[in-house]
Amino acid sequence: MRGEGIDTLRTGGIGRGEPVSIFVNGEETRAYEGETVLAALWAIGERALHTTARTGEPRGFFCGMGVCFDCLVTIDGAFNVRACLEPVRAGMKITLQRDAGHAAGHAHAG
Amino acid sequence: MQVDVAVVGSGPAGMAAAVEAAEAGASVLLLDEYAKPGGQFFKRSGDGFSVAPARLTREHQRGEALRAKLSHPRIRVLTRALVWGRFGSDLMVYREGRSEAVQASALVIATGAYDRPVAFPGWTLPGVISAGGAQTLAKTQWVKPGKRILLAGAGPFLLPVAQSLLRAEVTIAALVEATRPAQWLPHAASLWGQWPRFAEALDYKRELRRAGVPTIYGHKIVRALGDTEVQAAVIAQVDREWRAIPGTERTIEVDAIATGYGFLPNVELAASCGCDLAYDRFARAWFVQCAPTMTTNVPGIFVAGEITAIGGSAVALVEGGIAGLSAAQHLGALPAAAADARRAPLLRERARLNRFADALNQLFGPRPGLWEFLDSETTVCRCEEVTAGAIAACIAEGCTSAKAVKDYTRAGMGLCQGRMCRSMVSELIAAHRAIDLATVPFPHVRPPIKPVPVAALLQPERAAS
Repeated sequence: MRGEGIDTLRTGGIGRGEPVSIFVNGEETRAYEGETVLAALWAIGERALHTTARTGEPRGFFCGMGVCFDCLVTIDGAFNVRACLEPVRAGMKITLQRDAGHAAGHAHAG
Repeated sequence: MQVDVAVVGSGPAGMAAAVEAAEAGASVLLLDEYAKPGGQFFKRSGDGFSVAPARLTREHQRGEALRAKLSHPRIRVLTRALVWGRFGSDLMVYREGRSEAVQASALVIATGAYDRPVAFPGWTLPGVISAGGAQTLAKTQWVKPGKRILLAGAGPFLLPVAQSLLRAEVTIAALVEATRPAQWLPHAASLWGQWPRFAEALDYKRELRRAGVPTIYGHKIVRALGDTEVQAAVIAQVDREWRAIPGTERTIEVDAIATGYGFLPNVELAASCGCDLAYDRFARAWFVQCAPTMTTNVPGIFVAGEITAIGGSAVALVEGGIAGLSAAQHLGALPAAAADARRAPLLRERARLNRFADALNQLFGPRPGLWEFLDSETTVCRCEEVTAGAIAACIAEGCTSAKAVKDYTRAGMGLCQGRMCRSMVSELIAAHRAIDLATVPFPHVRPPIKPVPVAALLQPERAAS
């Protein structure tokens, strides 16, 4: 499973919540209850969270506090969810919005 | 839902306002967009984390103490709740897929601030983040923004950010500060007597020294290098106006860059409610105008904290208290004489703290050189991918406001609603037209002040109170 072991950006020696499985682009991935989706993705090195609509350049998060809307991901079919504000839930399916830009037709999903 | 006082934002100011208003006898609804009360300053780890006390920062205990006071029987806390506008007496709250109207006799807006975005070539690469974002990831999630980070900006806020990063075991390649200690001396008189603040700063500096973090004064970030992610930072020496001095560039290998060149206030909700804004020439930003009692030009709307001026958590706590008392007085829960008596010591404390805050803003406020290296290819509007060159061209054709630039180029039309690019667009207008930034108008703000799904608006839920 992705995200297990020490090869993540998680700080060592910290007690974390219950381990749960999430799915990132279909791949089963370790996360911990209490983490945000952003933290779970960043920890395993998924820093290019989406690519832009116009030039297709990769983007990560910028503000980390719900202001910049650059950490948008698709969660369980809902487009453009801010990963920095969304808590991890066991079994959640996350799709990185690459090669699609802001998902067409859903530009204002919160 | 009906309450006496609605407080928007549960940072230091909002929490203090809620507690004061509740203790004065008012029923209070405290609303916050985030999962936990505390705001940015008192942010803490998510549920399920257990962290050794040595890792916790000095504000942790104070944050917990303040959060504990929110258990007051007259305070109801609603988190993950976005307040997206106000129509008449209806405060619109979006939460869990539904929008609901809240009727409040008084409204305290304490929506805080976010890191001022500063564009430079490469700033859209994954791994270039705001200082606050770096701190949030390290301090609340215990995830490293990178293995080796460069921290660039101006002012004392960089120090607690550095501390949080060190405690999350991030290597800090350098702390790059735009000012120089010699520039601080003329302000010594205003800073005199603020000993607890100096002690705090020295504590931070000691921790940085122990970790071997070099501080590079009089420099700024000029470029991020990398193909698909950050691989290095280029810094350069600056003059007093923060213009890069040619030939002084040097490259530092890092996998993350965090920038903290001050803050911009979240004035959108207050502005959309009709509150007047005022320009501050040191912060180069627009704040909500208010009286010392934290009243605004709109009857029944009070403000507190960073949206009135960048002052830090100490000022925010005091202003929150004042706003809570004023709100309680407004709805008749507190007689004027009692409100005056309880506000008096807080007003004195606010005046004292503001002298210090003003000095810091003058010392570390952004200088015009910060925007000089927007080469024409640099993205300014991240959402709509509009470059500095495209914006400059439309200014040259006669656009004199951020609104006009938005109409012509789409800059500011994306999901962040201009929060990232607006200040830079205004700076570009001022620079290209050689006019004072104060004369570039702050755009009109309309609800929804953040994106809300249309489906939530079709059937507004009105819960029985």
